[in-house]
Amino acid sequence: MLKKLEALKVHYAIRIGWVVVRVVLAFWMAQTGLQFYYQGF
Amino acid sequence: MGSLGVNDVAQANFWLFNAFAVLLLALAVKPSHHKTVFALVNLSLIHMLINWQGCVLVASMCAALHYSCRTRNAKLRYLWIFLSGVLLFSTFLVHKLPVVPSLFSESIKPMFYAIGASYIFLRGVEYLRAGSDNEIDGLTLVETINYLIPFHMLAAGPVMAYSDYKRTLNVRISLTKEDALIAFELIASGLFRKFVLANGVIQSVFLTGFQSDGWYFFLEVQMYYLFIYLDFSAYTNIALGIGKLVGVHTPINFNRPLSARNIVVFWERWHISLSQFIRRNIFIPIQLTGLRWSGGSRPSLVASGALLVSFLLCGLWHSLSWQFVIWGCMHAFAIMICITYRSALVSKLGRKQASEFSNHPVISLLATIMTFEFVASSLAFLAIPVSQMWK
Repeated sequence: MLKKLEALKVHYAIRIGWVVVRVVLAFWMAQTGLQFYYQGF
Repeated sequence: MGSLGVNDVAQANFWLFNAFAVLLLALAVKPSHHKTVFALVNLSLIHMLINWQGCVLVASMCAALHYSCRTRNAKLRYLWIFLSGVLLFSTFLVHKLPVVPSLFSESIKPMFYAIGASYIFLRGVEYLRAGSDNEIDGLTLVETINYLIPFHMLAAGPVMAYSDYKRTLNVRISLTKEDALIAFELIASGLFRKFVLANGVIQSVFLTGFQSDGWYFFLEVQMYYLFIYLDFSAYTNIALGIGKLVGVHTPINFNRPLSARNIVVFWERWHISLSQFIRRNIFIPIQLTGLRWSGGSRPSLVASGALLVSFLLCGLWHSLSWQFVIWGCMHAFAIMICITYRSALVSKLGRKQASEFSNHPVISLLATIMTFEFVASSLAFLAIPVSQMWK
């Protein structure tokens, strides 16, 4: 199974996907300002 | 942390600049073209962050350092290096002062933030030391500029050792697909740490500027340490990623410091390039001079003195304030206590049993927690407003 996944280059797709998710999230957070605010505990 | 225009990192212009720089450097395949384009990109960033006068002044400073260190006559070289050092240190001091003296006009003031920027200063010191040891020979002005103001290491380091720079200067780094992916992963990890984890979650959810008290204050101390680590290591990851993409050797700066088992290990893993800079340029020279003066007697006392001076200067490099002086003393004494404890343990139990005792999971966990809490407290001490301390 692992060999099949490797042949399909799934691990590359996962790594590239995770890069894209992180970059998009980071730019979204930077662009829209801070999304969460301290509400007090 | 001492930095040049760190707030600019959050702006779109900065990222457009980086993307453009990576593209340009990728196109400059021939080594000599690559070096020239890199130098132009470095100066362009100074121009973008400050102004053209700042750019000219930084280039002039690079040229002054370069030609001082290349003077063939040894006596004259020492004189030029001394004068360049005085100039570098003066601009660093002006940069560190809370207010630039009013005798400078408004258009000139930003120059001091550029030329005296903390990391340029450190590289300048390293460069002058190499020059005084006559190690600069063979370096061109373009290569000096590339050492002193590399665009991807300007915001928050790392501080590259001159010997590392010289060693890797002509080593051609070919970018494979795997390397490119690793580079993008590093950049993505840096962006994620900075904007999502540090600013987006920790800063906005947990940090109140230490206005709270009780258990929330304790929580905030921990969160502040996490924030500083994520924020700072984010810059390093981005610098490492860009360095990989543009084929410029960039040293690592962090190696899991949060899990350090004692303060000595912590300083081997936190801001590694600065720790090594301090060891090379402050600690070892003071220790050697002290040993020479004392004729080799009292080596522990000499090492303790060298450690204290090193951390005091490290604190003052961050900021000219009493809080940073105390912070430096705290870390120096913590290292002294750690080394004394370790040698006492070895002399009491023997090397093998002392090692077994230290590696016991419970002791190891307790030591890690103690180190974490000590570093977190020392960082919080820097951030808590003085008025808040006496409440």
